[in-house]
Amino acid sequence: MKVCIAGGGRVGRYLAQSLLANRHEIVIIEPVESQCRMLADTLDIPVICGDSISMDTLRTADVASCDAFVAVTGSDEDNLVACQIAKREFGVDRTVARASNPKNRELLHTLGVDTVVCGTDNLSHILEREIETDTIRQLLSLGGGTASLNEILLPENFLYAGKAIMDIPIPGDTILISITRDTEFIIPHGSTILLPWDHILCLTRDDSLHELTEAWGLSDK
Amino acid sequence: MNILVIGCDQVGASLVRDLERIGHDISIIEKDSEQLKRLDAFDDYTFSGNALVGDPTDPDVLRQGGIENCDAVAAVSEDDSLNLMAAQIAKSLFQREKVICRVSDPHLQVLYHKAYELDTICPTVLTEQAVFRSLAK
Repeated sequence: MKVCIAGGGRVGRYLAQSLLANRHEIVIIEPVESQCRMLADTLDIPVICGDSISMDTLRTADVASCDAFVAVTGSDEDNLVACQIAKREFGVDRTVARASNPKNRELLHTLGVDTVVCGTDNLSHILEREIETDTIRQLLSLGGGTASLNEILLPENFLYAGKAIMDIPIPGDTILISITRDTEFIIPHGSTILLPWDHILCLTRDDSLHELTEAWGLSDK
Repeated sequence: MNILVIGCDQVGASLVRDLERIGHDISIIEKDSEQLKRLDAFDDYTFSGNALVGDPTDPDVLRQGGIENCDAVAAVSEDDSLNLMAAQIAKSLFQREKVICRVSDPHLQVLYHKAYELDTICPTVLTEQAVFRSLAK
């Protein structure tokens, strides 16, 4: 696959390296000349020195021949405009933009970018999960980082120990999938009772996971 | 009319002055608080509208600037992509019908006018035409 990366900063460079390792063909667009030289020297790929929202630059990079266009500059506006040009003017099928501001994740998608990756958002989510509690372990990230499959270990002093699931608050978009109690494997129903040391597998949206942690008193240790 | 102006460089500030003079109600959003000082720098005019420091591509900031109740939006900052993004938000998110967008790059102007149906004004083209006309006659 041929991929054009707009923005040769740290994100762009690491992305190029990992795509190259997977045998994709890469071209990078970067406005700062010294950075261009560094990229060309270290990566041995074509580097176009120019502005990623200039059509001439995109034409020089032969964006029309690319299967994907990835805009990872530090400016969300530039990333949006670069992706829009790549799509409308050069007919690139797949556009990906980095959003520094988490608020722009949905917005850029609404405005026509196929995939929006929010670094700050993902990172803060990961950090949040790591910091939050060691009773919750994220097993799988889903929905582009908006939801996850998690394992919760109910603590010794669990607030709702001995209560049936139907009598326990389960906030937001949360589904309890299974309970592992010692060697017993339980598919839960409303009448299933939760006990300390139960391992619960649950699917949640990220905001719901936070609410669940609060509601079940798992955050204050 | 209630008009929301985005960007307070020389273009934005003069535009605000001229629009207020003919009786329009103006709200202006600018990223850099220093730039807003331009509004106080005119000899024969005092700004009486609503000025806001903030990111004009943030829908919450646009809301604070009164985008939901304005009759027209003019994105006239020096930054093409900022104008283009703000203008698209005004059109698609807030359904504003009259949205004018300043785009310095003539190629971008054509693309966004055609593909995104934005009302674009290109200072580069206007300048070139003005110079051409004054030389060609």
